[in-house]
Amino acid sequence: MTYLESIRGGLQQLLGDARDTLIVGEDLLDPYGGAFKVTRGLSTQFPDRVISTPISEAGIVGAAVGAALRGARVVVEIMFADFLGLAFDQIFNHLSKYQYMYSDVDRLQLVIRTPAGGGRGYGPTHSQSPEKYFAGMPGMRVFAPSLYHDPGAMLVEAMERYGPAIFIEAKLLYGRELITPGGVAERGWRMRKAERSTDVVLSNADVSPQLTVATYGAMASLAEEAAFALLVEEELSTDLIVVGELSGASPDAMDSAARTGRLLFVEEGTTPNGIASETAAQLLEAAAHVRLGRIGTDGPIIPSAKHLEERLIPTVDKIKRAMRALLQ
Amino acid sequence: MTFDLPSSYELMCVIRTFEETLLGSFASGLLNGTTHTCIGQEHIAAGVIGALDLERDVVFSNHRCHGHFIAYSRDVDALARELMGREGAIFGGIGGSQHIRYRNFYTNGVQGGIVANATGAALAEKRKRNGALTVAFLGDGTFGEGLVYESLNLAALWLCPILFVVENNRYAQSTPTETTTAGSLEARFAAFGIPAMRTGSQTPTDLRALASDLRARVLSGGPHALIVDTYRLGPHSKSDDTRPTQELNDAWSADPLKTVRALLPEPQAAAIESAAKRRVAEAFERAARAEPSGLEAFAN
Repeated sequence: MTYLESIRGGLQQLLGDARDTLIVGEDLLDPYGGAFKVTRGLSTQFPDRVISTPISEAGIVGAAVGAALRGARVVVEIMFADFLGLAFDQIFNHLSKYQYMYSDVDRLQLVIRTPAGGGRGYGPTHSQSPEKYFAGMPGMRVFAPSLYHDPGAMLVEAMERYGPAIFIEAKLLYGRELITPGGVAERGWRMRKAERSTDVVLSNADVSPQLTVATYGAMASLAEEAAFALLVEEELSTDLIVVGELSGASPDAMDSAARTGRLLFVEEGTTPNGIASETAAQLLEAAAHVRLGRIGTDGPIIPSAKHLEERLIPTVDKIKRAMRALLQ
Repeated sequence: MTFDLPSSYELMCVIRTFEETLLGSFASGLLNGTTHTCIGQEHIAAGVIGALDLERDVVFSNHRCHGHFIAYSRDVDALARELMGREGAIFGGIGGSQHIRYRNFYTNGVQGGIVANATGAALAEKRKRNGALTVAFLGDGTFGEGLVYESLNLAALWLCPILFVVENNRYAQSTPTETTTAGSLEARFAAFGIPAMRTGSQTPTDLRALASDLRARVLSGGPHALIVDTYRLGPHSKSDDTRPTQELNDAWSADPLKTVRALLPEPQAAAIESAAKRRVAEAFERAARAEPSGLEAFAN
């Protein structure tokens, strides 16, 4: 099953529920089925539940908030995560706050799904990883499925238990097959779902880890490749924490880092005030002795030209170099 | 509940007294924070809310919401306590003056935001097929926000059962409407095919008749707008008023309270006024004696 198929399955599950569930976004209707084709088939299968809208991100999110206030369950698709900015006020001053300002309004059942990340040559305003601007916003939770997760199940869970939420989909992963414990076992990994979080933990079955790598989304496959290469080349054993929820710190990254004493956090966004920061701050608060390294995109914007983009976004080689550096 | 001139005058007097008491309380230091009173616009709250089916209709208001709230809920105590952060408040004083939810009544403090929320709420209500109207109260100043136009477009496209009520009180904070709003208000609605009715009536019974008619039209035909030309007699918030004295004096002589009062026999009007003043004074006294609200409401 691919990442996309899993997400579509999650949407089908939500739509098939008795509760009035809507999917709202641009260009969603069949035969087009969405910019990245995630919703293809859904408007045919559920004709009354998929609404294709004008180009009005603020209006779409605002209307979804109002519908959710009146009991509807809404999935909003924002075509590119870069466009979240257009809806920022509705997220910041309405969606995230109503559960606190209004009596008898608990979590609003609203999830904003949006593809993020570079690697396709789409350029500065279609390639960003803006999740850090929302992680840490009180009232919002930010999730980012990877190939190591069950994205559809994570989407359903975000809606039913954790909303309101932003669901960051890695656009590079849509066509890729999900990774199973059996699949990674061939590379010597033991893969398990964390108990207390949506993290997935990969550890080497036989060797105790010398460092921790925490990452999420599309970067997870790069990190796994880097860690496997260093295991083979240099017998370096790694705990790989594939974080699921970006809001807050990763409890599993913290646990592992406290044991290994070395943490490399790999994210696709820019590192200043990035996703790594909260985990790093909480480790400091716990007085853990951890050497910290961070990797992210190395420039203020992501260029369109492929060879220039490749120089800036994290790569397997950059991750390997940073892992080695932590051991010096 | 009966709706006639005496009862709507009483409602207007309660709102007016409440708002004036509020401004006095800020001035004397009894209250902290900010507020936005609807002095001069009480007839709109009375008339429009008076046309609603309060069991099912949904109301979205804005920062200047006290008149709408009192007309909707008739709960002067809860509002006074909300502003003072006391037990028995709408929600512990957490939302305060401009962030209120009370049954199907919602307000928020960022201009334009609730217009989109109202559009989506109307869509949700339409899908329930329960004949509910959603009302969104806006000001002239709100039309500076792009989200209003997105919302009008969505409401028209989706045929939302929503009535947009524009209280054109001629000022956005300190800025006259003429300097902020190009073109006309009606043309803005017309651009989206939304029929708009405009009135300068100060009589709640007239406004109620208009709003009732519009309610029926919305429920059978989709979004409509009611633009009411009025004047904000009080300051934007507590005491910030730099408007020309002559203009203010002229506006006060055309106070809607005076207009409606003139339609009633003098003894009846006087009796209504003193009852309203007493009711509001007692609500504030009770609120002042109540315990500060606890944080339990806020614990999540």
